[in-house]
Amino acid sequence: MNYTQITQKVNELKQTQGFEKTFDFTREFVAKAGTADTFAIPLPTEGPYHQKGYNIMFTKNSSKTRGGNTESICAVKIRFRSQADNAAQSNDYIPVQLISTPGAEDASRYGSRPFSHLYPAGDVILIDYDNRAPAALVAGDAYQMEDEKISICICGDLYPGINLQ
Amino acid sequence: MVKTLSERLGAFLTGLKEGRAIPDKVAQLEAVRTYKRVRNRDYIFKIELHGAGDIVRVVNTTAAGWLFIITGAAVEFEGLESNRFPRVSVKFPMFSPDSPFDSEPKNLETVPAGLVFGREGVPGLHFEEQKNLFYVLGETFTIAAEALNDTPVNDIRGTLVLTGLELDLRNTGV
Repeated sequence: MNYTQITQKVNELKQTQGFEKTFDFTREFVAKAGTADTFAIPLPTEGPYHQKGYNIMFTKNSSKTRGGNTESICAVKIRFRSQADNAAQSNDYIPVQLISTPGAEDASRYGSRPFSHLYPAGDVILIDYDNRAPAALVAGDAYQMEDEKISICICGDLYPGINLQ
Repeated sequence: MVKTLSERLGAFLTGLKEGRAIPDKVAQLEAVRTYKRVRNRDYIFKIELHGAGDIVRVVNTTAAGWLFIITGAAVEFEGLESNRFPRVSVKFPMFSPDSPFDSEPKNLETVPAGLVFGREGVPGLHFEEQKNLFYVLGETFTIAAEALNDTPVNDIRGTLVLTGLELDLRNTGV
């Protein structure tokens, strides 16, 4: 094929095949120590976005001390919302350590966690996060909260030109 | 002989010619709307047990009009004295009187969390796939946790995440 033939072939494929395209993206935010806030991710306006899954990585800068033993932790909790319908996909804040796979920075990965949700075109994914110290379980427990960097890779398909209304 | 970029790209494109055709507009819309009616959702439950025999119950209400089907659960415990998995039982005394799939009350046996979720000596997060454990349609349901009699004296905190699918049954006559 020469260049002209290749261009024609690409146009032909574009006109005759598929109506969705893969769209993966990664966003990062810093959950400030002792605070709760919201991180917004605007989605493309081309069409609805079907989120199929996500991966999370996080730092473990915070620590918990019990009985003289100190361990590094990440106590950040998050929940997803859609700005369009404002419906929480999680009814409560879920610890990132529970829903990441396995999550720790530089840890080996074994795929994203399946999580399906359809967002209308131009919607905004709102991630509420909370990096405040958990209530102590045992008297004497001490938490040292630090800023944590959360990286989320969201994967899914985009449907250009589809109007859900 | 080394192939040119055009030759390699052309061969690749030729291999794509039998790809899936674009569905018509009606089929496209229907396909995407299907995704709109099915979504994942997590519910979280936190329990604290203080001493042997302690029982706590957590109550939750699912989204009205959405059928919730559990597909998996993850649990994490802290406050362990050692690497022993806690002798904690988790019970799903589930009933789903409004469920279109099961009109009879459904009670499951109490099972030690260590048997369901974990391996001895490996505390922390564990995930277990559940097969259609129960269905909830905008209902309140209760999960009970009980510290078995040989539970260590440590206070134990458990975080239980139920993962599942929600189906939109609004305006469907169900």
